[in-house]
Amino acid sequence: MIAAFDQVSKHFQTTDAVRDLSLTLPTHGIIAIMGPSGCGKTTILQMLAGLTAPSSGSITCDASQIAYVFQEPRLLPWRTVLDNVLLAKARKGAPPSHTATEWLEAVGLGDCIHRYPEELSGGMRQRVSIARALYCDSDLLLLDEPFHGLDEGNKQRIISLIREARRGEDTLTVMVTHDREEAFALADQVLVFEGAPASDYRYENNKGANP
Amino acid sequence: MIKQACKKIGILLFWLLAWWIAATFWVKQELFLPSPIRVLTRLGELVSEKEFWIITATSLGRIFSGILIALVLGVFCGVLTARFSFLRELLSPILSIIKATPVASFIILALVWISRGKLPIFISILMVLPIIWANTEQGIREIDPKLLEMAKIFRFSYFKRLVHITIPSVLPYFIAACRASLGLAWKAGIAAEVLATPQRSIGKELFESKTFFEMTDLFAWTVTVIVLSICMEKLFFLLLRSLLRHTHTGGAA
Repeated sequence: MIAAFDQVSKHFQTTDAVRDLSLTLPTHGIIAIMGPSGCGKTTILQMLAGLTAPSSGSITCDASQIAYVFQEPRLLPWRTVLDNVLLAKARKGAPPSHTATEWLEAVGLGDCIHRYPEELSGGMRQRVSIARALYCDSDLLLLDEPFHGLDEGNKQRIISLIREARRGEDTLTVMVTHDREEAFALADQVLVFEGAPASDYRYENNKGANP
Repeated sequence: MIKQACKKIGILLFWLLAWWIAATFWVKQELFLPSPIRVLTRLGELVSEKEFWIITATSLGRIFSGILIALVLGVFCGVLTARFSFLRELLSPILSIIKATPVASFIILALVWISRGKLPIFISILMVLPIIWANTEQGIREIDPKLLEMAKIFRFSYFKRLVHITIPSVLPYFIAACRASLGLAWKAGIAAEVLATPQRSIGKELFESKTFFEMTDLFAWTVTVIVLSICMEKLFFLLLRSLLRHTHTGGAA
């Protein structure tokens, strides 16, 4: 899978989020992007997902299916937990590796599948959105501060789950986080931006990553 | 449920008693205020006549057609103006004029333009259309952009987005518009009938009752209008709820 930025800049009205960024992401594996607040980490994910266009430069991404875990769960409030996960499945053809119920059980919400989002806590809703993203079997999974609102036990459970689910040779996972511990617990490589706006970066290999 | 029904019946009986006391001990003249017993007796007589049902059905048909046309037109216009800003700017003066013009002016003007029978339909449309239109447009414009982003990421088809995001988001606005406008349609539609006096209409009966000082008839027909308006509103929301449950879009209702 190819995901690359070529001289990409993104200006907002009063600020630059990204400046002249040239970056080619690995073809597979799990990458964590770290950097100071406001350095454009989320903007990078949004541009990769096609949610926002760069002000200049070009982005190449040949993912056939993208899944995204936003900072907030973004669930349909009028749909049950199970429906929210089922509705995310867009790709026709190959059957999903796991059913929606299996993913919800894996994130510890097997008892809540027929409940509505408003009946769940913030952390539970975030776990639904993670189950939704994993259910898609996407080749590119984008995670924007995905563990926000999760307690330590659930965070560890989800990290193991994502590592297990995303170890394929044809899948790339990109996570944005400000938490160094989270980044090194999940990712094979950690990309650190030196300052804001996002431009210069360095890679830190995670030698302690689980195989 | 039963407790709630008993409470409602109790409230109704309280106001009927208040009406009876006012008519019997205060006004004391049937010409100005007939007692509820006289009115209900007269209503019972009217109900037993075939003509009553024909008149009621005709008025109901006119006003219901007006509401139905306005609902379809209002949703259509709301979708268009929410989608195309130039249309919104172009049509907003019309919407403002319709909202600000007194109903009586419309009725008198429309009497010149269209037939008496169609006037109540036209007036009902004018009452309902701007409310449905404005609320539909607002509902569409207020759809949570974060949900639309989510739909884009997960590649919702147009139909999937319509059923699972657009309709449930707009529904509360649409229902509020219906609640506000259905009663108005009845009031204005009957007012149009009173002024236009089309054949076989409640409005004509009201006008004749007033002309011949038949206050009991006037009250009986007014009660008929109130009952019809309430029944229609209840039936409408019952149908809407059942439709939404059937199409699985009713979470927001």
